[in-house]
Amino acid sequence: MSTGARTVTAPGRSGVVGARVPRVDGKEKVTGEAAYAADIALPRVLVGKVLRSPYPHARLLRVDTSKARRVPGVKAVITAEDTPKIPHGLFVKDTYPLALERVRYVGDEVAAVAAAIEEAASEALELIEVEYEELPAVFDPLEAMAPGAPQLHADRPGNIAYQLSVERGDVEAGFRQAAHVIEERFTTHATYHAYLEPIASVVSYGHTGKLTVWASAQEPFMTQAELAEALHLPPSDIHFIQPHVGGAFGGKTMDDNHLYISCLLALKTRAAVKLVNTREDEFVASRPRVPTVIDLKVGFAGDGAIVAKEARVVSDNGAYTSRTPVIMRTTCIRADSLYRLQNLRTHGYLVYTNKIPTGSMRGFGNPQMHFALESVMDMAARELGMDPLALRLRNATQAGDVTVHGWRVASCGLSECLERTAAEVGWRGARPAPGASGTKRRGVGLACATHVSGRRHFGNYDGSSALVKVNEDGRVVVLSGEGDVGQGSRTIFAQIAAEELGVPYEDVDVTMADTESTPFGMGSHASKVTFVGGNAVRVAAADARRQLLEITARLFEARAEDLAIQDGRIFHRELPQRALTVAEAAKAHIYRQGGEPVIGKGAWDPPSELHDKTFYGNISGAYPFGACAAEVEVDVESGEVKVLRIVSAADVGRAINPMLAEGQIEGGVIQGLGYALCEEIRNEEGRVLNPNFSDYRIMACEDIPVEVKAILVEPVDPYGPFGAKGLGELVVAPVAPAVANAVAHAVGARITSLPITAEKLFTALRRPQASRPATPNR
Amino acid sequence: MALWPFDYLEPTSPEECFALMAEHGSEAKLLAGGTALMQFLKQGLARPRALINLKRLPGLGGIEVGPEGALRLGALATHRRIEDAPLVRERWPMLAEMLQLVASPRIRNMATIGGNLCHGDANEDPPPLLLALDASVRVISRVGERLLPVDGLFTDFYETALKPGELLAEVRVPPLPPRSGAVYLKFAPKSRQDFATVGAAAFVRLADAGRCVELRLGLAGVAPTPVRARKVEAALQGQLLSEPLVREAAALVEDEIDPVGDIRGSAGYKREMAKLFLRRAVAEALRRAGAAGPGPT
Ligand SMILES: Cc1cc2nc3c(=O)[nH]c(=O)nc-3n(C[C@H](O)[C@H](O)[C@H](O)COP(=O)(O)OP(=O)(O)OC[C@H]3O[C@@H](n4cnc5c(N)ncnc54)[C@H](O)[C@@H]3O)c2cc1C
Repeated sequence: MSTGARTVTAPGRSGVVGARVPRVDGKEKVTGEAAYAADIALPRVLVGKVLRSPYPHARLLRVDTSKARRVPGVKAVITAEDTPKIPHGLFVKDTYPLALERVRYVGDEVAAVAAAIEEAASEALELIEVEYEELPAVFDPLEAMAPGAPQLHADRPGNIAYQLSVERGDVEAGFRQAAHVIEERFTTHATYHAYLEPIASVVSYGHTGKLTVWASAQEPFMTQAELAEALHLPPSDIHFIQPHVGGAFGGKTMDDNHLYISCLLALKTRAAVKLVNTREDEFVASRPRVPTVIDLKVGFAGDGAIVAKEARVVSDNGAYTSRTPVIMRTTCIRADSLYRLQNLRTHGYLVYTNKIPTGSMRGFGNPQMHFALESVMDMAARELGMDPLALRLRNATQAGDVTVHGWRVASCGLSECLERTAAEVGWRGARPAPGASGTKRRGVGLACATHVSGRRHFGNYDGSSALVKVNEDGRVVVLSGEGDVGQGSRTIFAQIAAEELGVPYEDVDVTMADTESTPFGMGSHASKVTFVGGNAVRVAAADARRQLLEITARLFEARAEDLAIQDGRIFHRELPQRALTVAEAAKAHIYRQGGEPVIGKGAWDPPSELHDKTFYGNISGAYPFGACAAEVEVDVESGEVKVLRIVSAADVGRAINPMLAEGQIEGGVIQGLGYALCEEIRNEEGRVLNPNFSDYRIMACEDIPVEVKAILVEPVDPYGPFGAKGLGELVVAPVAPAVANAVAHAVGARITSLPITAEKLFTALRRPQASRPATPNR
Repeated sequence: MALWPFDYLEPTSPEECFALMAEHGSEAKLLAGGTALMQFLKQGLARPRALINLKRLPGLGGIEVGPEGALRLGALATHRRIEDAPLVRERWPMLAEMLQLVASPRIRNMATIGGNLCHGDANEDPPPLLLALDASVRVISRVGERLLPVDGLFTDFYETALKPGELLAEVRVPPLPPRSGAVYLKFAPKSRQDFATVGAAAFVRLADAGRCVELRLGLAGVAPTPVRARKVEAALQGQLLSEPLVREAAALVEDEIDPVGDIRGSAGYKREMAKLFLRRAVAEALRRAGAAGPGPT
């Protein structure tokens, strides 16, 4: 076992790291065999349904379930009175599984039903009588902060769920040195994860005394712990089994009430209950991306060096607090390490509003600030008369840097990502000139980004553990509690174990995550599964390899150091004819008097540190960097933006599987384009106006630019498993600013409010030229 | 999700269908491709006690030319079949082009032209072009049949002129005369698969001197129903269509439309886009009609 050790990049033993091998679960998924939570079939399973508040803010005067309970087939109708009334929330415990005394948004869960058949459950829902007393509501975070605004939570005056201030260097002195200061307000909006599989769970409870939970959750062990607390059960009485998960993107951290409710229904009925979100449930009560209002001021020296940065971030928490305090902190802090800046001050406010609670979504607050900062970089380049690429390269963080917040950047491909991206989109020495034909204008834009590979946070631990079991037939099973939500981590783990052990990829299986049989892992968040989980698997595989070598050494009466494993064969380095297969070695060890299994065990915790009180510290084991370039065409008469081409480069350290890495980039680009151009949860008086895919538009196949070019930059990180870093979230962050910068390049209008709709651009283009860049676009 | 219990009926002849329609009256809904109706049911916007599936009725899926030279589209012909039909592609290519802009291939494989028109959704793409092409529909019932111009079919928000007991059987599109051109432009800036923010269709026929002797304009997305832009038409009828004239005339559409602001744009923006795309549609129809293009000729 090792902790935080530098994982030396030894030459591979099977050549499978870096190969485009097919996913371990590919065939199951494309044929429809793979079972997702809603496919779990148990005998006599009950159907769950949830009653939601139709009001954005109201007192619950009376909830009468007596009629509903009399519907034939109904087994339970529960309200807050039937629950332990323990609020959940990782950072601020303000969310009750079922509303207690008050509802705070349209969609708030008021009651739930479990019935033998769906029709009975639906009928019961309609028979629940609720008397509400409407209260004044507030929907805009800036209004919610103002004096006199309706208050959502008595213990959070001013509707402030959380706030922070960070200051480094001397901001005033920095601005005094500035030759140019750019100051602008940016706004970003709520978007939905739009995974294919809506949140679903099957929970069974009975005489075992245990709750068995199959759910579309992205963090098996964390979900187990959070459920245990809110349900007042010992964690080990909750057996969490992760089925296949159809995409998560941060939306399946189970910060919403879905899983609490299905567990409560199972406990109440002492039966099995299935609860499956409708798409509308998802749009009104999951945890979409946090909208922000960012006031950003950045000072530049005449040569382009950033000399000071000041920001005020207001993040829209919605009605309850999920992981939003840390999401807001990410918005406030993370992008600062993209450049070599020294003087900064940031205030952040997380504000309650009577809307759907917001939460984590791919990027965890990071894309919001990147939109603002990377827009400002282009605005500054224009004022400075500098090329936007040169301005970024002038300030770019480099390997070996300790950034303003204490990140120790061991590997960094930022400049290379920028240069290659720019070259690919047509920068030959300088940015290509904008183009025009008829009513169409073309432009190109660039932006870059950074992120983390895991982030030290929970109890000063950011590690993972794994077991690697070698069966008597030579097949290898990796047991990891990290799970796979579709990103392909089981495939990556199989590649890492095969490489480390020296066995063929096809001989390695990776189990699904299961809290009773797989070792502890924190699950999918913070782009950490490959980096942290992969290292744990590698350490465990090395341990299994050591055992195999020792077993063989005893059989051969040789020294273990003289033996090697390759392609599933164990042989003596000097006498290669002395060889046996991994199967033979494992079998010899197991099938004998006193025999024992061959199980390698490993744990790994990155060499990161918990930040101090001022949020200073090397919070992650490795930092990925990336850049994105967009070429757009704008119809100046309608404001329509077409993205013609996207280039996205990511410093992934090392691509364990280039095919999956490119898939992450392509998917991230498409999600980023949706964020930039068309996706938006729209509210009116707290009611979601577009809770379906015909009114909430994600990019359709025909909307995706013909050319999405992924570039893998591989500086090989000294701590990553075979050099790999995190990737999943990084790629989203630079897309929106790249598009905004391309639009500004094409038509001169700067859109500072996402998404960049045709109408916003149309309006901006009609404004007198002079006032354009400085005016907010809403 | 589970729906409430209802009768599911599959008549195999028009007579049987009419009998069922009479029996169930307003409790029944006709089902064609189901793409619109099922959404309505799931959203609780309709709660019929019986669904009468039309798919087994014979002779309602044809795509052919009638004796008068008009294209006859059976009500049950799907969007996909129509857009793929060589006959349509060769002689009414603007129809095929327009259908390709409807939703996604998955929807077009199911959705029927009859269902599209009877749904009466003001945001759909086929109506404006059918208005511009002066199409009509043949409606059948127990007591006989009648021909109804598409202009007049749409009476209000999701409402048509079909009476209880009536069934849309066929859509008829007149042949395109010489020196004419037609086009439908769909403006859906968020996604190719979205409903139109605004849709505009134009049909133009020129006289030998290049004057416009026949012109019809249709719009989607700007009123409770698909509409003709009659004031604009009147301003252009008989004129030599120059760019400034078209621009000026298109502005007259202001008084004829009543868009509502929604997630696809504010009312004001839709007004602007209605003018823009009408202007563009006229220019393209003119080009297709063989004019040198809108200019001072
Ligand atoms: C996801 C999605 C996207 C869409 N995008 C677009 C788009 O971009 N552009 C566009 O134009 N449309 C779009 N539509 C609408 C689509 O065109 C209609 O749903 C479709 O044309 C309806 O045809 P159908 O055969 O499925 O009708 P059904 O759903 O079966 O019926 C629709 C209505 O018409 C009635 N009806 C059907 N046939 C007859 C008949 N012969 N006589 C009398 N009444 C009848 C039914 O009773 C019902 O009220 C979209 C629909 C969906 C679901």
